[in-house]
Amino acid sequence: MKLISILMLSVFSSAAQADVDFLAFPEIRADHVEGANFSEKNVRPSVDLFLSKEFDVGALVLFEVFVAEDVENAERVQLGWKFNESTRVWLGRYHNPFGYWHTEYHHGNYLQTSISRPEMVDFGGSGGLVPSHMTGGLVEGSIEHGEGVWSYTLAAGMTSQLTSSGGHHGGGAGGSLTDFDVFNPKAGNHDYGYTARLAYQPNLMDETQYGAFATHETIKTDDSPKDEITLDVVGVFANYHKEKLRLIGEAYYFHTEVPRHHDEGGEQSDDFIAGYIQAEYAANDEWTPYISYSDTFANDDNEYIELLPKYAEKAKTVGVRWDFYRHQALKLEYTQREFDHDHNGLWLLNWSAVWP
Amino acid sequence: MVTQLECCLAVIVSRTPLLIFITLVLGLSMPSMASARELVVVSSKSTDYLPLSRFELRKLFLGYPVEQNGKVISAIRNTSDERAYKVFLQKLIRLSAKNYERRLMSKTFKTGAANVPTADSLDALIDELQQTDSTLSFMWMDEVESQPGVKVIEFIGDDTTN
Repeated sequence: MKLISILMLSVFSSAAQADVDFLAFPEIRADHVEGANFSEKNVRPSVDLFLSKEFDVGALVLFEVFVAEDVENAERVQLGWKFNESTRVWLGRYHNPFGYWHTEYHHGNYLQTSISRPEMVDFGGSGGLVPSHMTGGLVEGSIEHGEGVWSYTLAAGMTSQLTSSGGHHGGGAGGSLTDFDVFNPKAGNHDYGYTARLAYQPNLMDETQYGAFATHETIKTDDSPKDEITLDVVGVFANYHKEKLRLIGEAYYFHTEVPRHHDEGGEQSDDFIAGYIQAEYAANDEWTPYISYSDTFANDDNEYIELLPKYAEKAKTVGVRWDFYRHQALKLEYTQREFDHDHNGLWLLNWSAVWP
Repeated sequence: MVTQLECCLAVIVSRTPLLIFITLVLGLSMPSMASARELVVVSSKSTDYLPLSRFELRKLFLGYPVEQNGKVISAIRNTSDERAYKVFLQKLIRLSAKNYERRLMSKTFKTGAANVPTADSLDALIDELQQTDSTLSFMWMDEVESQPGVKVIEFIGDDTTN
């Protein structure tokens, strides 16, 4: 993996001089869980490097690499073809196109207002409920209607595995979703997932949009090669932008089928709902305070959630973003989190930027 | 005769404050009117575009494709003149520089679609426009007048408003 990073870095540095779109997102993040010790391990620098190119003949390439002290990950490796101005087909590893937050933001923390992601759309390795990446095929298209536009996405590919060792993105102890490794396809045990998404922007010039999606994922576990979890999710989302105010909200309905490891055997077939809302107020070009609330409903004894102990079932966040210089921001936020058998407060402070 | 002269003087004296005010207003406004520069959308002289709406122009500079007669039109951001860029943002894009650039970056980062390129000198911009017959940009009207290979497509606004 180190070799891949070095190779990618050299490609990126030479590409920065060529006729391609190149973006680098450096970040330094400090976290502190109330009651825990604070050490230098709580301060994590990272950088996300992005490169894309549209060739005149219609070919497309996209690479994204995330590098931190203990993580080196090829986030996106995509080769595509632009059939016309509104239809693209991709092959490779890409972001699973579900919901609003996950399709709008990923790494590149500078682009999102807050530091953290809502719990239910957190990265698979950090306690998120839905696999973050797929490796396979992706179709993206749009249909303009007056000043508005409909956008659709269809995806099918290898999905995540539920492992007890933790995935990337800073995953620690406990189970989490580990992505298919495009550079090491024999690692792990992965099955297929499918996602369809539809979104509508009433005015292409504005960021307001509404939409819905459905995803079906077959998730292998590392407990037993034959064990597999079936995850079906349908969700709705909205991003409402009016002058200085922005509201983001998503609600997902989950149906899970999880093999039981207790004496009774069989599998648990269960349903639950998760949602969040985030409000942001851009007081001026520099200061943006924000709050968010996320919750999980009807999830008592759900075995899928019990397998993901890093998932906070309820969270309240308050924070502020200060754009103190061109393409650089400082953010501070506090989140009160409730887990299945625990609760704590988490402080986050970060500096994020984009270059060039 | 004396009475008429006295009457005229009385009128002038009584209206002196108003005359001073009018003179001051005209005096203050004339220089800025004289220096107001018009910002215009331009293309190579070889293009034959149909008129583009304000919505289509905004689309172009936000990185969305606009097609005319089967040809895809693209845009270049002129970053050679800070004032021109500011007027472009105020009058056409209607976003702050921070929000505009963040939107462009987000779109590229999310979709892999090419960003709207920039030209940081007028010479580079003119070269780019003349190399292709499907690219638009913006510049001051007085700059267009000194560039024989470039023509005006649309009026954006002038720099009188802050």
